[in-house]
Amino acid sequence: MTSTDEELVARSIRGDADSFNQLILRWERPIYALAYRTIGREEDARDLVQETFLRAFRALPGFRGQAKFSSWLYRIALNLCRDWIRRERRTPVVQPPEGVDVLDMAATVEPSESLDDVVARRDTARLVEALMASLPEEQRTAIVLKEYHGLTFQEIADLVGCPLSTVKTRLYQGLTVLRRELARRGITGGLPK
Amino acid sequence: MTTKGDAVCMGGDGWGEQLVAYLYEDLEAGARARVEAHLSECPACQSELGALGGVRSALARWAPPEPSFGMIARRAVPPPRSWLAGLADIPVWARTAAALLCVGVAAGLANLDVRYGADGLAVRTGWSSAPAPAAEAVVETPERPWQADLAALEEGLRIELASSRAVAPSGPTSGAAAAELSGVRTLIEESEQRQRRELALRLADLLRDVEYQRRDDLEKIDRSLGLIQANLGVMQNTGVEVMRQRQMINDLAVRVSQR
Repeated sequence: MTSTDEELVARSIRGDADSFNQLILRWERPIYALAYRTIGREEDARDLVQETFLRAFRALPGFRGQAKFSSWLYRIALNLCRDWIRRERRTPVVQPPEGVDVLDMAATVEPSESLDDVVARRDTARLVEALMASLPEEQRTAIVLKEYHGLTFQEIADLVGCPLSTVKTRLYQGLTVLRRELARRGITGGLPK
Repeated sequence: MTTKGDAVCMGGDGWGEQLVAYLYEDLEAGARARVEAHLSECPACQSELGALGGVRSALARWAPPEPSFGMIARRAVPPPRSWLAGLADIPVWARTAAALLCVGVAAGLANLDVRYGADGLAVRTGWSSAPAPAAEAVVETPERPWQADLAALEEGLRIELASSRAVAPSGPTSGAAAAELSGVRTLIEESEQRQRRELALRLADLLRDVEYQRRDDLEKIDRSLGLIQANLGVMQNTGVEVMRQRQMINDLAVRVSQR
């Protein structure tokens, strides 16, 4: 029978290293995905996952279960992401895959080019990655937590510490920017297969 | 959402929030019904909803690169240490002994022969028999002004040593010295035993580290094999799908030709 996060946390606090290992195995991928989508660097995202669990381990005795373990972990990871962005003093960033320059893409797409041609030349996923990197951090975080981690608006609001309506506005604004940028590149509504 | 004009719908207070909540199905029933009612009569908002849905489809295509978490999951156990790190923990006396042993073995292998005689310092290596003195590899100093001083010093030391031997062992003092000597020997033996135990512990540590590394490597290999098998599975499925489609096309071609 699989233990819940809360049970594993309780056992970890009592000194059971295996339980904490299980928590790591359970949450390392979501935390990595969050970190990668926020900072856009694979290696740094991996380091950040380690740092997240290290901090969680140290702070575990003080964890009183006032929030879900996952929310608590997300908060640690998000704070580390913010520190990383401040430290690096740059916009979060996705290493642009070779040859992909987001700003130049619209110019390079020939008007006569069909949607299939565009997609054939440029991988949609990479485009999305690059566009996400161009969004303000708050909007990107809202999209990442909602779209990829399925958090409720209330959970996101608690996590980032802002009103519920602000989360929705950020999400709407972010999606609107993405929609506009995708449309500029000939990608609208239904996506090519 | 009070006005039905498109421009107002798009920019009206709170409409974007409502729309995005509807998009993610994170809206209470009443609000949901109101949004649906509006959407049913506002093509612009329908269009925007569709476009935002398209953005979500695009977002779904973005997956982070596959990470390697081998070391993350094992953070809770002591990380494997390298051989060099293990060596650094070995006591100095053991390292010195090992170094001397190596030098001794090397000297033995090289058949090193060092001689110091009246004709100077001679160093010879190799397994060949000693050549005649004339042909011997001899490092000789032509002038030895210090030799007389050295001989005098040596003689003085011999005399001093002999006199101390003659005085030392006498009566009860020698008994106390023997007890002291015995105590020192006991201490040395205890120290040696302790160091042997420490060495054994270090070796056990080292073996455990090697075992961790081995398990780590095995897990990595397992994971890689799993990925390869998964890829093969996908390829096989793709192959089956292609075969099935070909079969369908053939069937269609037959039917068309029959007509």
